[in-house]
Amino acid sequence: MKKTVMLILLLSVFSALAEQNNYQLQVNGLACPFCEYNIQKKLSKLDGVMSVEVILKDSQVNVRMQEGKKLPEAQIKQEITDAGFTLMAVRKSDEEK
Amino acid sequence: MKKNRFTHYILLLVLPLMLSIHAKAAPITFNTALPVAKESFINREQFVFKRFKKDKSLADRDLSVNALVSVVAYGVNSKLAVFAALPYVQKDMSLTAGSSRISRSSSGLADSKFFARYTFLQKDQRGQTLRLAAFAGVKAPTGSDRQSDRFGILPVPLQSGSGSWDNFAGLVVTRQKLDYQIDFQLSYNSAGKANQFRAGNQWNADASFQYRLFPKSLERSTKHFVYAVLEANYSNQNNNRIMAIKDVNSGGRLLYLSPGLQYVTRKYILEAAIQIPVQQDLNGLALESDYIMTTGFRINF
Repeated sequence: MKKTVMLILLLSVFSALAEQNNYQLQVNGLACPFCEYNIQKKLSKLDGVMSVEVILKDSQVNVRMQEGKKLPEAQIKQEITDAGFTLMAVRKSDEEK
Repeated sequence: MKKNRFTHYILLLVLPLMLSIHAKAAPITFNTALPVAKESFINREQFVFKRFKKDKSLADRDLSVNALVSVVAYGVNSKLAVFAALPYVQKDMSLTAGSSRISRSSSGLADSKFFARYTFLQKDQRGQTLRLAAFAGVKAPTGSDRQSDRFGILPVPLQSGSGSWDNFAGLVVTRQKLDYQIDFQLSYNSAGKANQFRAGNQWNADASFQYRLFPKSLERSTKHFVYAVLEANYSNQNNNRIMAIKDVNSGGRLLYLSPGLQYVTRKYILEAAIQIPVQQDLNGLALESDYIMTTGFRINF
């Protein structure tokens, strides 16, 4: 019984420590649905990315990551530039946790 | 000999028509400065129907051109994109020769265009962009220029291909916001010589205004736009030359107004426009345009 409680406690601590890195990007230059496709395509192929949501009206891109995975800002910037747009800001977001 | 005279007669009557097929990317009837993402493809298929039947000559010419134009765009990087436009055409012409009415036609792969576009100005803001790009390319003689019928070899403008290499270049500027998009393009086409024929060089000025009709306001989940489109296409073409002699019944100035509709999604665009000539100041007996109908789709890959 004591061992089981310890195990549950350990798992809880481990789970709390496992970082979920979601990102909220502000992307400038994005003004029609046909353009957002390439942002979604380029970010979705990156390691650890679970989903990409583009909110056109706010020029916002939400990137949901797998647990423990991170995206370097330089890599995000490169992908957005390659898609033909300008990355203005990157914020870590807890929204999708 | 009689055949040759007849062919020459046809040639003189139809030379005014230079039926160029533009590779188009975002406005419906011409190009845009919007990006093609690095290592990505856009495929565009256009169905173009052209009708020319306002004839000032006694031949009462009636020409229709149906074309399927396949365009592939590839993003080398975020600034540089390359395009290939491969058209397939069907041309039919009827006219009165003497006391009888005759028809002549051709079909097949037409001349292809290959060009590159470089974006040298990009000002991005939240929900909007301003871009300026330059493009240049060649029209390669991939179409047949030796088709014939029972009257002999077809005149140059009725051939699927011209036989000549042409060069073209231009500038395009695009202002895009969430509610609307405006494009302007200025381009110049310098025609090469083939089969003793050189088409007149041509200036084009095009403008496009696209206004979002639907949805009226944007939601978080908005993924489809419907644009009302109004475009204007102006061209000024010099006289053609046959065996270095100016053809007085060719070239001139032409202005089209082109209303249209576009349905835009993330993955594809559906579009249609009709180009209506509102001013035709053509030289001599050059055949006037009735309309050009363009419809098609483009797909992101």
